[in-house]
Amino acid sequence: MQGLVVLSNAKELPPQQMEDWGNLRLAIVRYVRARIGRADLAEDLAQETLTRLIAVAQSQQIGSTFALAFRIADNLMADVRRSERREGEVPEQEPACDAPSLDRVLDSRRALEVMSACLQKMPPLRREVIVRRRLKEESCRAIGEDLSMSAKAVEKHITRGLVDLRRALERAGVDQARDR
Amino acid sequence: MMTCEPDETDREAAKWVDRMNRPVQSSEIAAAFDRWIIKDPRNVDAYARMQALWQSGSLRGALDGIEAATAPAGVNDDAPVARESAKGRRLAALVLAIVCLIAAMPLIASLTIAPSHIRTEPGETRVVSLTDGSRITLSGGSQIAVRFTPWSRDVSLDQGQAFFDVAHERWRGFAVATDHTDVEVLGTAFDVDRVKPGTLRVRVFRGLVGVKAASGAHWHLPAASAAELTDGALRRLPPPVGDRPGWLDGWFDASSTPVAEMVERMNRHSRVPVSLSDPAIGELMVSGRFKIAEPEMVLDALSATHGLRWRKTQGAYVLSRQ
Repeated sequence: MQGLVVLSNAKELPPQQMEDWGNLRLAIVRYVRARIGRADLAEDLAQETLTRLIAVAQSQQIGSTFALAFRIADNLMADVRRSERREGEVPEQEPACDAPSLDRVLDSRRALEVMSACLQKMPPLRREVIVRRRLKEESCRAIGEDLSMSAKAVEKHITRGLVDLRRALERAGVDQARDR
Repeated sequence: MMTCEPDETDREAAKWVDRMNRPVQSSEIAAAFDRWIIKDPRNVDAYARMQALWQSGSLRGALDGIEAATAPAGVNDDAPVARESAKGRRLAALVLAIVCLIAAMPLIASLTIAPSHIRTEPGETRVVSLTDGSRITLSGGSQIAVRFTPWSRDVSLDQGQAFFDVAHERWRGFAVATDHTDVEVLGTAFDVDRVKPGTLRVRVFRGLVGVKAASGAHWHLPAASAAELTDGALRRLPPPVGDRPGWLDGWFDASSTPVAEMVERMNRHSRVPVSLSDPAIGELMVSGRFKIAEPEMVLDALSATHGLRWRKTQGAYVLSRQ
């Protein structure tokens, strides 16, 4: 598919940068689609994400372009949810989707049950680390100091904990990414 | 599909989710993350899924349940007494999660905003002013569909030719789609002409247009440049003159243009259609500046150049050999 993109009003971007924008756009579309399932909405949100990213890039130094892009996309997805909630429509039927929305699947009652059970089975220390990191938003360093372990060890607990949760969801058939 | 690889990808994704959710990252970590994302598109999927898990209301709910159950007993929650009350609180968290879920349900439902369709008859030129201040000038025999959402401005050019003068908006892009090509703009003036299926001509009067072909090749068209895209290949055209396309004033600049194309253009502007008595006439070439809005003048010029003649019969012009 061909595409034309107008990147700015006056300045020309070097070709390398043009290609980077292309990669970035593809990654954002893929990221949003993995979470909300709908390809057309993903395109719209990716477009908006890029526009905002360009605005941010013009005014400040960016660390990770992709991480910032995904964060902007996260916020846009949350905005869409909020504005939908304000409209206060009564949900009647599932709108037509390319694939079920992962975000919605993960907010199901079943997902909550599976995650609760998985957390119950975890070693208490790992569970504690995840509670502090996710719920209390403590830094890895603070958690490490409190629980007498290195920041690296804290990171390892979180990583393993998340993978455990993913496996539990997959086993329960809640998130079947691998079957796709 | 059960290989070791997905586990490793998930582990990496989990690590990056944790790192990228920290308020500050070092530049090395930032660069390493970008490299990991570019390396394999599946890494994007894995990261998206892990991030969705990390941000999910269910994880919060589950952790809330655990926290509520363990708080009185302290850090060490091995005490079995806590289990019963944990159940009750988990139930409360669960009810809350369901309430949130119901609230989020209409999320996507109202996003499909119906486009408005605008079309012109042959011989009619119409200026469409959009709510954002952009203006589209539609040539004769053309058709567009306009769809605006809070975050996007989409126009599809379904037929013909249009000149776009786009109001710059910081937060909202402006995209023009045809069958095979998307044109996206931030604030610029350009002309898009669907010459025939699979062939598109773009002339840029203000701004910058990047062109991406199906092959993945990139070009860019700055202001005062023009190009034709045919099946993924780009051919430079002579630069446009002035700050708006000539057809707005009824002119057409032909440069080794087939007569068939001239006829197609005339038919956009003329209420009385022009036809050829013999399709081979359509392959003759013409160059020069033509007052395309006045078909009789153009037909006179074509006849003089190529030894043709034309006549007007029953609501149509017919161009034939002498």
